[in-house]
Amino acid sequence: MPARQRQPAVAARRRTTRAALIAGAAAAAAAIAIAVIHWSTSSPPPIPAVTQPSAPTSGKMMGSATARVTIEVFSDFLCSHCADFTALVEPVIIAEYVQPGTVKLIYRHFPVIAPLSSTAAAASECAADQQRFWPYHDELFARASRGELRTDGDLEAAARKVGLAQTTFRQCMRGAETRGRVDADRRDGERRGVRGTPTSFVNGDMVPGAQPIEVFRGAIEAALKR
Amino acid sequence: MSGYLLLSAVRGYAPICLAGACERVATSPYARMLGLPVAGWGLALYLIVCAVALAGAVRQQARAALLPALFSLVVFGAAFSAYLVWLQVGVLHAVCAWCATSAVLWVALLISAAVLLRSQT
Repeated sequence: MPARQRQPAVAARRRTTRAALIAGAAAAAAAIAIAVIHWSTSSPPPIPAVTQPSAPTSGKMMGSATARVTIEVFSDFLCSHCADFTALVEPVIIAEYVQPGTVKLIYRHFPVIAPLSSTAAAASECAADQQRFWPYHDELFARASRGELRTDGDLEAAARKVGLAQTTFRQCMRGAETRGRVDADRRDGERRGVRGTPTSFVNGDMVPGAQPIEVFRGAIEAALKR
Repeated sequence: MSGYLLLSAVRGYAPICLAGACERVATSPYARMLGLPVAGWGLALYLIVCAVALAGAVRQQARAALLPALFSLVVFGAAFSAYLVWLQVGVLHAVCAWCATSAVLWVALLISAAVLLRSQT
């Protein structure tokens, strides 16, 4: 083909290339902008390091033993959905239902995320033996949300933070009895159909996942009507 | 792959992880955008790229118009994928094997689109 006849085709290809490069630059800028917005809006809110429950507690149970509704929460201290549930939904359940005596809340272990999950669960049982389960539970979830729950040392640091007797805590961690309690919770969860965390049971009815408070209100009200 | 991650997110459980820490990534606050799982957005982008590429392959006369669109979609996907890799490595300190595979795919798509563009000049 003569050069003069090739020129329009070459010019057209160059226009296409230029358009593609401009579109590509715009797409990269859009991706960066969306990434910045996503990052700034997704960062989790800080969770209070320790919350002092104002409802009666006994071991891993919070609330009145005679409450008509029992909510069991199968959870994992390294699960970020569980941390969201603890920060956003659980305080509302505690304020609206546990403190007035309508609901008792029971934490159940279901360690699945990482090997440290089982160790953290056992450590929380050691905290329960010193009647400090719920402050330790709050401290572990707060640390996990900040990315500060990665080693056994972090579990010990959390124990110091909530005022556990260190020698007793370490002796407890070396024993196998607390691991047995954790395994028993997990086996019970598996038997009842738990496949992930958090999974809750409201008077025996399963509520899977970190559902919003409206779902729990509905489940509690339904349980009260039965 | 994106479809599986989307299904796991919708069901509320972490995906099965063959390597890495998929559970930690999939259950982090960064796993959703505008209320929908990031995997869903990724699946949609993959499907759009596939549709544009197929349209260009089938309709030769539309290639000049579709190439800028294809290139920009792939650049967008690769750039956002790089952000997701940074989130895993730099913020969550946990890498999901599924997400890493997707990132490699986006790099491969970007290289392919660049080669296609180069062949135009």
